[in-house]
Amino acid sequence: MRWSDVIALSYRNVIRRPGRAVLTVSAVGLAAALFTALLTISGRARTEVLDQLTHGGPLAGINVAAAAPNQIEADVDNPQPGASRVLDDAALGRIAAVDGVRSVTPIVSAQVIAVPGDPILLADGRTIAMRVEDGPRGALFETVLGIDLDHVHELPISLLAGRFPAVGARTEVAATVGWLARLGLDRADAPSIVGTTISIGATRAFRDGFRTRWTKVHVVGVVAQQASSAGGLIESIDQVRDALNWTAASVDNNRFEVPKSPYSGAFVVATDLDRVAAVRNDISGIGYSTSAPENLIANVRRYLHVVRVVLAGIGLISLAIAALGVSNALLAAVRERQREIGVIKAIGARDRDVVRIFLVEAGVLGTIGGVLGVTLGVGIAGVVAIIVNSYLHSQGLAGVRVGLPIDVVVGGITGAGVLSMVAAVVPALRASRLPARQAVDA
Amino acid sequence: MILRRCSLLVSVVVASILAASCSSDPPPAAPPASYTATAPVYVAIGADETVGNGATRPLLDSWVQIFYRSALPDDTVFINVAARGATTADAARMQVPQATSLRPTIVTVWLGTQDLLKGVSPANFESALDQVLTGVGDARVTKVLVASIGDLASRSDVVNAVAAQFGTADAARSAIGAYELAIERATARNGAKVVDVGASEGSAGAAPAGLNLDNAAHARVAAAFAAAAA
Repeated sequence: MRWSDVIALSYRNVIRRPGRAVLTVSAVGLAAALFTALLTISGRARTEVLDQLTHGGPLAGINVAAAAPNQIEADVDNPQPGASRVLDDAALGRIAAVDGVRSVTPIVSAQVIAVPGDPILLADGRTIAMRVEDGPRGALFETVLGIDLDHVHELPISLLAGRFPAVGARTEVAATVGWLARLGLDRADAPSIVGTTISIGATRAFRDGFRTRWTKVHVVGVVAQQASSAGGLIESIDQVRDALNWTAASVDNNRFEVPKSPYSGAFVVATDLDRVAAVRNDISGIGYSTSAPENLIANVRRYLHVVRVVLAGIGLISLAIAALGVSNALLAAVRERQREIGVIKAIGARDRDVVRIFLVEAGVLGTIGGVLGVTLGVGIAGVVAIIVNSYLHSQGLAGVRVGLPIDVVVGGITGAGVLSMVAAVVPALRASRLPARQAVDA
Repeated sequence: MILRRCSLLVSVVVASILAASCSSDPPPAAPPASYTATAPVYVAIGADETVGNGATRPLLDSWVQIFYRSALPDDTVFINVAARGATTADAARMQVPQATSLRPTIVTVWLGTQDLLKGVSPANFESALDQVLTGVGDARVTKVLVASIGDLASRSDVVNAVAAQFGTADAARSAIGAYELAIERATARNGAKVVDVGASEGSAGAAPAGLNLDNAAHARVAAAFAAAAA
């Protein structure tokens, strides 16, 4: 029997009992929808939780401080660093050479004077006045972080609004939530601060007094983290280095301390999470304090894995129930179509042809159910995301993004088809073993 | 958290940079040359007016800050080397070396008031101003803007303070006029441009501590310099 005949017979069988076909497809579809929705939600939740832990940075990220390690930091995620220590290019080179290190991103920071203007005109038309306690002379003492903007995606910072400063830009800065707080704003105001201008000054002691080197920068984005406990701004490493060089050229002065280390820290990314502990040990051996949330991440990942297994189990149980439904429907079809099976076999069809007819029928029903179910499942996940996002936004938190997980979509559709065919094996074999004469006489 | 950690590792910079003091120490060492390699650099030379005397918040309301924020390109770096009480000779000795080491592209100079108040003769003032303008002349400098002496002769408080050095009010007014001419000659000799700040001083405060421009006067001076720089 040709495949076209098999498909034609299967199609005729399906449309002969449309009610049964609809119920079978619905059972498979609902199971696939549940399976898809659970996996999509659990997968997204896993990503979001880990993003929160790593602040959008890589899981295998390690913070290196310009400080000596202390004795107990090997097993601690966030140890107290030891005494200050110069972190220079040579040290970064030694760290980059450690086995298991994928990248090293240097960070510099400087204490500066920030003058945002008074009043500050926000993008949404509001104006805010400087609070007297923050800057009675219109200036704020602020920490500015300099990062290599080419590697900003490898750092544990994430955007609330706008964008990161462009690579090479010398007039752009990203504000932090700390900066918003300094101005009396909260996270929801992040978009309105984009476009404002700040004068940033680095101070240097001359023999006859102090001179401040000023630059003008525009706020192009707001990040969800703080650069310091007081606030913070983020700009290109070259800009901050210029400010540091200016300050570092001060004559000896006991009124402020000039930073000795060219870099205030570095962000190291290990090749994978399992290498983080070894890399931290090696960096400590070189002489620098490190911190990384690897223990926390490992624990959270274990819990999330358990949750995923449970949710997938629930989905699989529903799929198994759907498969039983498919099997039951096809067993009923075998009983009803014994005469037809007998006729087919009498005109020359072999047992395996009968098996193919039932398997194709089951496969078609399962695949249709899978397509409908996966579509419904993604829709359910989207609705859940909307509800969750409305709650998160009401709490001033960033929402979750629900994408289309290709692996779940393909797996859901294929799995539904294959499972239906597996469920049809017993009814198909029973049908194929019916003797032609007995079948015709039935 | 790396960001918080980094902040702990940075030293705390000065809390009081708003007041620049003046002394007779030798000129300081030059800063690293690399930092001004490409960006336009604006340097302000001057005395009390340029430090921001009289402005409610000098970092916001002084004329140099307004001029810098509103009239110069965004990527311009600005360093104010002015010092309170500086005469033109002080500026030539202290501020000009600092200014030239910064390799500025635009320089503003507002000097003369302290010279008048300290009785510097017009000839010596002109000579010192020549030193200043010659000193800041550099292939990289595209503009040197020099403030006029302004309408000090019409202000009785200033005239009285200057008269204490020059003998009589008439002598004071004469000296002020001579200073104005000296500024015009020196700027002409050195290819600089005079900025008339006379009308801006109408609401200035009292001498002899130097001119104390109020916020409105600072804004008017900034506008005058912006127009000259355009």
